[in-house]
Amino acid sequence: MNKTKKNTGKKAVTGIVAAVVSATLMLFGLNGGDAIEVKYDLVQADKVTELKIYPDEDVSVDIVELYCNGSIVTKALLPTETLKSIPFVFSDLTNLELRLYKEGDVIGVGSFNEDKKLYVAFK
Amino acid sequence: MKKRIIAFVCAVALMVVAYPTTYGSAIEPEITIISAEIDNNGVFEVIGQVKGVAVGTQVSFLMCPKNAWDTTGRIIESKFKADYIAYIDQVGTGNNGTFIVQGQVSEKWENQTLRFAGASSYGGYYTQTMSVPEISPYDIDIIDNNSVIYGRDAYLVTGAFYNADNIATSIKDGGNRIYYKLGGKWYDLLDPNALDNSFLVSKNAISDSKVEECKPRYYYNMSEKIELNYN
Repeated sequence: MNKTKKNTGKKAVTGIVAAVVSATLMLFGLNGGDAIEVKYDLVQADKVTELKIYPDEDVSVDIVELYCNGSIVTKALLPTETLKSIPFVFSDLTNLELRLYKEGDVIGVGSFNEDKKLYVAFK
Repeated sequence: MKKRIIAFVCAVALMVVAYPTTYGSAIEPEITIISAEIDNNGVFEVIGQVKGVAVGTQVSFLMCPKNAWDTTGRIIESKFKADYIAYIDQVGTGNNGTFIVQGQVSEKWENQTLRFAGASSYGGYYTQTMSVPEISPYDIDIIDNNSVIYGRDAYLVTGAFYNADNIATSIKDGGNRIYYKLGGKWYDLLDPNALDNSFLVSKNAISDSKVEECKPRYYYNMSEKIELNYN
């Protein structure tokens, strides 16, 4: 198993990504907020790629869903599980979206920018 | 197979111990259900929460027909056996005590109301009913999103059977075919235009009939091997 990417960015605000995810936030009646960079690991093996995200503990995300081109791929329970799919699904990170849940409510929406950094706009 | 049988026996043994002791009493912590859904393939998902427990707290889950429970919600001991168990599992909690139970009930339970219940290893109990719709035939429609057909067989990517050895066997038996399911649609990943995931949009989907032509033999879902039928 080869680790192909580890992104360890600090908090930041990006206007473009925030605008993209805010469209999805509006679907859930959320105003959106600053987009915050979230650390993640992308681990690729022969037939499967696993995405693990590390949102701050204080936001207490419990479920994360992965979408590709608007369709749900899979979901995972945090902090123990990873998002798993075929490597092809992760071939262009900019076509992916994450929805972060806490106790049944969407509290954040995330996407990757061209630099493969993950930004999440929290409620 | 032997490991699965042992795991099942252990899970049943745990339920026998857990249910009579936690059942029906107002023991903290509280367990609540956030959502409970089932589709016409018998695939269900229950998301719940055990408040005030640590990550990794174990939650036992049992699903039985209504007549296996008494009027107080207690499982009837004489009916705590395989014929009455639609589904049994044990899962761990994540943040906020949240847990997810994903599984499938067989067509034996179609058009019936099942009652599911659970207990955490720190106490607490919940119970709720779920109506099973008419179950569709076991054809390619039962294959979940995020599944792949390699050669002659279909695999759920997050399932227990999804590994290189099994996939190699499927390709050996059925040829070099890779179809991926997303959003209810199938995509041929050997299509020359399938260069990256931007290919996974409706206009590039192949028809269900093309998928049926290859007559996938088995569907390996989260934990079961299901033989597919074509009548």
